Amino acid sequence: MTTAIETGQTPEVAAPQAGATPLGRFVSDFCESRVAVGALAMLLLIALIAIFAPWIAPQDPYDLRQLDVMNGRLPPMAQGMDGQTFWLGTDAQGRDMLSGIMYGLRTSLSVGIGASFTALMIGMAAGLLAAYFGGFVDTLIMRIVDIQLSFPSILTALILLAVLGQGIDKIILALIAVQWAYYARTVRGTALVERRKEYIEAAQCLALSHRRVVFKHLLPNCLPPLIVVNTVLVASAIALEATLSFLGLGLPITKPSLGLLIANGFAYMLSGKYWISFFPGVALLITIVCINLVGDQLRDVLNPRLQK
Amino acid sequence: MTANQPTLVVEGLQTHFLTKAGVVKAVDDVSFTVAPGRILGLVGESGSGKTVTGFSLIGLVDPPGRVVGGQVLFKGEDLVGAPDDRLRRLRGNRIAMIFQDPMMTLNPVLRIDTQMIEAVQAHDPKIDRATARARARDALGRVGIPSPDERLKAYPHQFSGGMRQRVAIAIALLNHPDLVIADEPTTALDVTIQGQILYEVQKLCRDTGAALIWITHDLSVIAGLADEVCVMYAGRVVESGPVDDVLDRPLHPYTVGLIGSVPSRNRRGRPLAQIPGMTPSLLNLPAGCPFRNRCPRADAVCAETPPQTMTSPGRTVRCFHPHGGKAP
Amino acid sequence: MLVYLIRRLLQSVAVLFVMSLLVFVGVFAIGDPVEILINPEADQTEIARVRTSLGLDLPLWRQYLVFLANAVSGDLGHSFAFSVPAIELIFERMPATLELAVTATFMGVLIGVPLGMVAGLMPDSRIGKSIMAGSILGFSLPTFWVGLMLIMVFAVQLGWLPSTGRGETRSIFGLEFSFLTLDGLRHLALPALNLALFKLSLTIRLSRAGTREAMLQDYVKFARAKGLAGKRIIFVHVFKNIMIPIVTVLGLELGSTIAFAVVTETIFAWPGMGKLIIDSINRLDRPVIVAYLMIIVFMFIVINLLVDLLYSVLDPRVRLAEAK
Repeated sequence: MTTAIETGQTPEVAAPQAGATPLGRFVSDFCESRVAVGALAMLLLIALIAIFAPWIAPQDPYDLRQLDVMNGRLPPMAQGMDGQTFWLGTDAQGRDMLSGIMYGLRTSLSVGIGASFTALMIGMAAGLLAAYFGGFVDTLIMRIVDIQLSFPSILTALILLAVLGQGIDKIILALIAVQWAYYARTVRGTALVERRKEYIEAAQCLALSHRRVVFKHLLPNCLPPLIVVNTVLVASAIALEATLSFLGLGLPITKPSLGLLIANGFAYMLSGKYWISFFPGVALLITIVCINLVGDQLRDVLNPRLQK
Repeated sequence: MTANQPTLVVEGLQTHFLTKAGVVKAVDDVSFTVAPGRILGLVGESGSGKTVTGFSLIGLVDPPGRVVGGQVLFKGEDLVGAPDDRLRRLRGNRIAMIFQDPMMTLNPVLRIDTQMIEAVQAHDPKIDRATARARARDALGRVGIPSPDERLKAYPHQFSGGMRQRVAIAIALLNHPDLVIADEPTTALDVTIQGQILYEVQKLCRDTGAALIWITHDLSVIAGLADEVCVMYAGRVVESGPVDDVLDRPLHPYTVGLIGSVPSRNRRGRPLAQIPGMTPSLLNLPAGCPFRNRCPRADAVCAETPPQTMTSPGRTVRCFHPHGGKAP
Repeated sequence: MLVYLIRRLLQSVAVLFVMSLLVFVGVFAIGDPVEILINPEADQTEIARVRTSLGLDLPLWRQYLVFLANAVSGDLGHSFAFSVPAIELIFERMPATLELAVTATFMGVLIGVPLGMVAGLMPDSRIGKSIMAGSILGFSLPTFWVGLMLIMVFAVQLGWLPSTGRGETRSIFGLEFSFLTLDGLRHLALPALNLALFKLSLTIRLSRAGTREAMLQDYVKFARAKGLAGKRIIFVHVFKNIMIPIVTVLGLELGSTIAFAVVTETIFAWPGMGKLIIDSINRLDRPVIVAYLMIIVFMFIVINLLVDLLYSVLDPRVRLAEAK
C-alpha cells in the first residue's frame, strides 16, 4: 500500500508586521476604534474630576455651614441666596448638585476601583494557586468559586449586608466577596492553559522556585484576559455599589456615592424635580458606559481569535 | 450544444485574497477541462491553491477572497460573475461538492433525513416530503449504508467517519449532478475505508456519467482513480495531462520530486528522497517560477514566469527546463 | 442519566445545608432584634419574656437545631414584625415576583434573539453597529436608574402608564396573577421592561456572538454548497445551533433575574418578595430574611437542575452521550 506524500510545510498567508513592538501594536490596534479612544479620554476626565473634587467643586456639600436650606430644590441654572449659580440645581437641603456629583464620583470611583482591585489580588492568588498546584487544592478552590458564582451578585451582597450591617468597609467587603470568584476563575483558566506550555516546564527544569515560576513566568502571560475582566468588573462594582446605596443598604449619608444621591432624589421625581436624581444618574451612566466601551475594545484587541 | 461538449472548461482562473499584509494570489491563471464521465485529479500540497480552486468554481470563496479573473464554463455557461441566484440553483443540483471533514459539514443538531430532504426540496419545491425521503433512502443505499431507514432518523455524531463521508457523498448525488467536486474527501479517513470510498465514487460517476474533480495531496490516490491530472504549485498548474503519462513520464521537476518522494519508490534502508526547501509564503513569492528556489534545474532564465506550453495534445507543462519525458 | 441526576441531587442538598448554616449563623449571631420590637422603656422582665417567646434565650447551636427541625417540616419561623409564619409571607408575595421575572425573561428573549441575529449577520452595517451600541448601554445602565427614567418619561411626563403597584389580578390555581387583566398589564409593563433591559442586552450579545461563530462553521458552507436558500440556512441551521447556549444561559439567569427583581420592586413598589427582603433587612426581621434566603437558594438549585436537564434535551450530542 502506498502512503501519502507530504513535502514542505503550509505556506503562511499573513506575514507578521515587521518592526512593531507588542506594546506599540497593542496601542495602535486599540486606537482603531475612535469610540473607545473617546471613552478613554472621558474616563481620564472623570478621574481628574474625582481626584481634584475638593479643589474644583464650587461648594463643599458636606460642610453644613455652607448650606442654606432656603436654597433648596432650586432648578438648574438658578441663582442662590448669595448670588452663586447652581449649574445643576440643588437638592432638598440646598446642596449644589454639581459639587455633590463631583464628591459622589470620588466616593463611587474609589469604592468601586478599590474593591475591584482587592478582589483582583485575592482572586488572582487563588486562581494561580489552584492552577499551579492542581489536585486537591484546585478542586477545593474551584468548588468554592463555583458555588459563589452560581449566586447572583446582588444576593450575595444582600446576605453579607444583612449579616454585617452598614458602613463603607462592609460595602467594600461585600463587593470583594462578590467579585473575587470571577477573577479566580479567569486566572485559573488561563494559568492552566499556560502551565501546560513548554516554557513552564523549562523553567521548572531549571529548578526555579515555585514562587519565581509563578510570578515571573506564569503571571505575565495570564494578564491579557485579566485586564479585560477587570475593566468589566470595575464597572460592575460601581454599578452594584450604586444599586445597594440606592436600596438604602449602602454607604452612609456622610459620604454619599452617586447611588445615594439618586436615592435621595427619588421622592422628588413624581413632583417633577427631576434634576436631583437625573444628573447624578447621568454621571454614573457615563462612567459605566465609558468603562464598558474601553473594556469591549480591549477584549477585541486582545482576543487572538479575532485577529484578522 | 453538441453531445461531446466538455462539462467544465476553466480558462485562466484567478482568485486573490486581499489581506492586511498584502495580496495573496491563491489561484493564479489556472486552466483545465473535464469531459462528461471523466475524472480529473487536482494534486498539490497544502497551500497550493487546490481547495480554493474548487470553491472558486461555484462561487463559494469567502471574503477577503474574490475571483478576479478568468472563465469557468459549465456546459457553456460562464459562472464567474453569474448572479447569486443562478449559482444557488446550480449548487447541490447540477454541481455538487463534497468537503473534507464530514463531522464539520453536517449540522450536528439536525437529523440526517432533515439535511438530505432539504437538499432535494431546495431545488424542487413541488416534491413532497415522502418522495424526498424515499430518494434520500435510495441514495444512502447506493453508497452502501446498511438499514438506511433507521439511519435517516439518526444524528451525524452517531455515525463513524467513513459512514459520515458516505452520507456526504449520498447528499452530493441526490439530484444527479453533472459535475461533482470532491475536496480531499478521504483524507480524514483510514486507509481501508479510503479504498472503499474511492471505488464507490468511481463506480457512481461511471454509472451516472457525471464529471468528477478529485482534489487531493496524495498522488497515489490519483494514480488509481483519475483519468487526467493537474499538478498545482503555489497557485499555478505546473503540469497536466493523462494520468499514466504524467506519472510514468513526468516533465516538471516538482512532479518528479513528488513522485520520487513516495516511500515505496525509495529503496529500503536508504534515506527518503525529499524536495529540498520549503513551500514559499504566497505573500513572498519569488519573481518568475515559484519553484525556482527548490529546483535542481533552475538557472537565470527562470527569473521569468514560464508560460504554459503544450508538449502534445492534452499535455501541458509550465517550465523552462522540463524533463525529457523519461522515467526518473 | 440516573446516576448523574442522583449525584446532582446530593450535591444540591449539600449546598442547601451549607447555605442554611451560613445564613443562620450570620443572621442570628449579629445584632439583637428584641431591641427593635420592644418599647425602649420596657423593663427587664418584659424584655426577657419577649426573648423567650421568640426563642432567643437558647444557645446558638440549639437555636440552629430547632431551626433545622422546623425547616424540614416546613416551618421557617415567624416574622418578628408581623407575627405570621415567614413562609406564608413569602409565598404570598412569590407569584408577583415570579410574574415579573418570567415576563422580563420572555421579553428579553423575544426581542433579544432576533436583534442579536441581525447584528451577527450584518456586523458592519449601521443597524448592526447601533444594535451593539444599544446593548452596551443596556447592560451598563444600572437597573434602578433606568427604572427612574422610565417612571419619569412614561408616568410623569407622558402619563401613559402607571408607575407604582400591581394591577388587578385574576387567580389561577389559587394564585393571583395580574397579566390576565388589562389593568394588570398596564402596571406590569414598566417594571417588566426595566427588569428585562439587562437580560435583553445579554441576549443580544450572546446571539450575535453565536451567529457570527455559526456563520463561519463548515456546515453553513456545506449548506450553501447544497444550494439551500439563505433564509433556510439562517432560520433552521444557525438558529437551532445558537439557541442551545442561549437557552442555558437564560435559564441560569432566571434565578439572577428573580434576585435582581429586588431593585425593580423597590422602585415600582411592586409587592413581591424583593421588597419584602429589603424591608426585612432594614427591620432586622430575621426569620423572614432567613426564610427568603433559603427559599431563593432552593429555587436556584432547582432551576440549575432543570437547566441541565433542558440542555441535554436540546443538544442531541449530550443526550446520547449520557445514555451510553
